[in-house]
Amino acid sequence: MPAPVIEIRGLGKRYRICHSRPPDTLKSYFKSLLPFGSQASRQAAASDFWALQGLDLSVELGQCLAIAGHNGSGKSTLLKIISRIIPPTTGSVITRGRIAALLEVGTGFHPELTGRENIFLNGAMLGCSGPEIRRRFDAIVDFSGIERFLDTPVKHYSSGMYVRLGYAIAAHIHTEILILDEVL
Amino acid sequence: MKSILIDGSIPAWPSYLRELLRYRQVAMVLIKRDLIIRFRHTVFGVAWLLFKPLMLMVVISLAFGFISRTETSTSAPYPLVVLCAVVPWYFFSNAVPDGMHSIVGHLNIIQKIYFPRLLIPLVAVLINVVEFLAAWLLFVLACLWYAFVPGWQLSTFPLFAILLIALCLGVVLWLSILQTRFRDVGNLIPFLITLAFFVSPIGYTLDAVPEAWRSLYVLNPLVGIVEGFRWSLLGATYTLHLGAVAWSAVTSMVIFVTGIWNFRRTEPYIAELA
Repeated sequence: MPAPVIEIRGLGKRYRICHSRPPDTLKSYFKSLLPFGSQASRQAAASDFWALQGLDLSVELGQCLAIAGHNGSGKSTLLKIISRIIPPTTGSVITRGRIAALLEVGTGFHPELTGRENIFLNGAMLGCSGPEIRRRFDAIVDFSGIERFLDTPVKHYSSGMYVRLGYAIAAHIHTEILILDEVL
Repeated sequence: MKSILIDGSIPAWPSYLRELLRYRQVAMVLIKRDLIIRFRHTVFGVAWLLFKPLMLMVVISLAFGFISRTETSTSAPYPLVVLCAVVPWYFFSNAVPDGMHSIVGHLNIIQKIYFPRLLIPLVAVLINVVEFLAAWLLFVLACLWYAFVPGWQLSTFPLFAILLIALCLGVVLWLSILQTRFRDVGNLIPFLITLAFFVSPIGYTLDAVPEAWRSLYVLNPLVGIVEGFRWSLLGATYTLHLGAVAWSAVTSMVIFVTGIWNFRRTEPYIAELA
């Protein structure tokens, strides 16, 4: 059996919560940097919050996995760690193969650029080379149904057209790992 | 199949460089995007590449050459002397703010997608490098106009270009990280750039600075670089201040190396810091 495409061991993510108001003047900021005096009060003012702790998980090639949970249970945090946007505090993740992380549709779309230009921009951001996008270009345009507006800047698109184009690009990029976080 | 280990550690240099190379497509696309946007909706288009430094040169020539009648010891035409410094200055004074705001300006992408974050300030500087190289066409045209021929010193031009870009990149790497933590930096820097204009030999030359102040004056790393460009382009008509150039080379490299070190150290946390 081949190795799993995602292997997570003992993963943990800690956040610091500040209970006191952050220093809002330059004077109080420099005061808070001083190594003496306020040390004890600063320690008390911050507490730890573990968004994830001791997580083990593996996902095989071809497997679909959905994660459900309450608000603030760490679903998005986990996906952000796997897609390398934020680093873990403890543990490790091993990914095998290309990753496309869709935490949002149309990441990096620029309003001044045309639909055509944005397809190449967005494709590159998802790790797709120019020739690869060109090969799938027609399929992407067909799927999105925006052929008439291909050379119009996306700032003039309706929000539906915008999302359709963004999703069409993502759907036509084939990777071993696809991460979706409530994108639609 | 490529496997990636994610454990929050900072990657070693060889794998980091491979990673940068793997994502060069993103850099190319971003550079192309910004160059397209810069000249879209403009009547004069790419001609702005030459207009902008030209206008600056005219203003400086009038202010320093005509109104305050700055003396120089070179026999080269004064507009040429100014132009040699205006092009590097124009690059520096635009690339630094662009680069400083680049990380904060691209947070929407940084928080949604992975690529080596170093690419963002790098792209901001590289776009200005493209403008910088194009702006030298102005010098070529001015040489034709004044029938001026540069000497063998021209061959040292790439050296000064590399020094200038390294200094600029180093400053940008420091400031772009600082800006994510303290937006104060963004308020302070425009003032410091204005100050840098007056304490760098742009409208005047190094000989115009009183002898007593000169050793203090050349501590500004831009001085050696700008004077280096002048010597490289004006050739035998201009004297090189080797000490100033050496000092600039050392400080530029220190700022560049520490800038990269600090950036790499902070890079994994950028999405959370800002």
